[in-house]
Amino acid sequence: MNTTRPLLAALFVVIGLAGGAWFLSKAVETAEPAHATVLPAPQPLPPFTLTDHRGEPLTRDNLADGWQVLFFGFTNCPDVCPATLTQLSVARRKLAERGVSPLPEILLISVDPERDSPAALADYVGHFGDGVRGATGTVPELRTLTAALGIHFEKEPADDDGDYGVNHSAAVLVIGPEARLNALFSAPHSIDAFVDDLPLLVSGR
Amino acid sequence: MSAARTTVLLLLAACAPESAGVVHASGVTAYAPLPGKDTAVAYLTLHNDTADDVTVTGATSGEFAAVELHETRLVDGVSSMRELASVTVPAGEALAFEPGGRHLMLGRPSVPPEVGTRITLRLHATEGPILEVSATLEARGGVGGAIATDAVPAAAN
Repeated sequence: MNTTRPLLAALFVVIGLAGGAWFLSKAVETAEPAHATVLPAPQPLPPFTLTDHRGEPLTRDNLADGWQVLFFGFTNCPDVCPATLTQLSVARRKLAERGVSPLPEILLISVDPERDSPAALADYVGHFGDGVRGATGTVPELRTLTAALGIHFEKEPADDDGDYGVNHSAAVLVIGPEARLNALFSAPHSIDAFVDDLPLLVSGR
Repeated sequence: MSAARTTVLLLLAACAPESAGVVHASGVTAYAPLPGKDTAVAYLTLHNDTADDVTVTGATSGEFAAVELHETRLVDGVSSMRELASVTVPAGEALAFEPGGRHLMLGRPSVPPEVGTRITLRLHATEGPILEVSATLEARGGVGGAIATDAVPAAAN
């Protein structure tokens, strides 16, 4: 009985599988975020002190561990702030289902401290599920952080009813270990962009 | 996204008498205010099947005392919101009110604006009302809420 052919066939199969695995591993190794802009060198956040939705201080040191996706907005914004937080919370849920670790925390920093008390923030962020934190501070405290991050915000004049809007940058910032800005997502946002890129960012690829 | 539960209730004169078509709406979706807030928001697409441009100059609601046409704009990465005096739907075309763009801000509710509340919206032109639609307030995103916001142009306001 000729045993050479089966051996050769098995050898080709093994070589094929090994080659496929190698190409796959290279492909994964070289995967890069397709949507986010990654900073060439992570940028340390300046020291700052804000107050979170539980009334606890939020400082740079509090962000030293883990990953955060940071969005500047305000709770009286009826249109896109809730849309962005929804996108982020849905994306986070999908990443959790996929077992992505570490899961980034979602951080809403209100640029409307006049109306967004810790209690107001607590009501608001609670709507978006686990892993969402709200914070704000005085305008000078906020400026300390936003100036370093290139974030713009500006309160608009109030109307006759006292209502006003706040113009602000719409980017979602990705803060990594040691409280450093690693990457940012520019608007317009999508759930898919967060789901595609955040695993790559938090894994350090 | 849960299907918008929308009923076009009434269709009145849309434009000039010689126009053969109608103005109608699709995709009407209204979100209840978020916790601690009293401002809801509605989105829809207006279709102008008439032979003339139609200019919407305002909107009213039986459940909200203040209904405004708004637009979120994203310029150089910074978002802002402004009230629109009017919007024009060109003849034969459609105009979308969607997250991150034009929207109807629904303020000063006269009934508790809770999820499940049925609301009516009337769009007006200079000549008078042109369209009335109804929708049910839905929960926006979050825990158990509608996921209606993928690919949203995210400017904020």
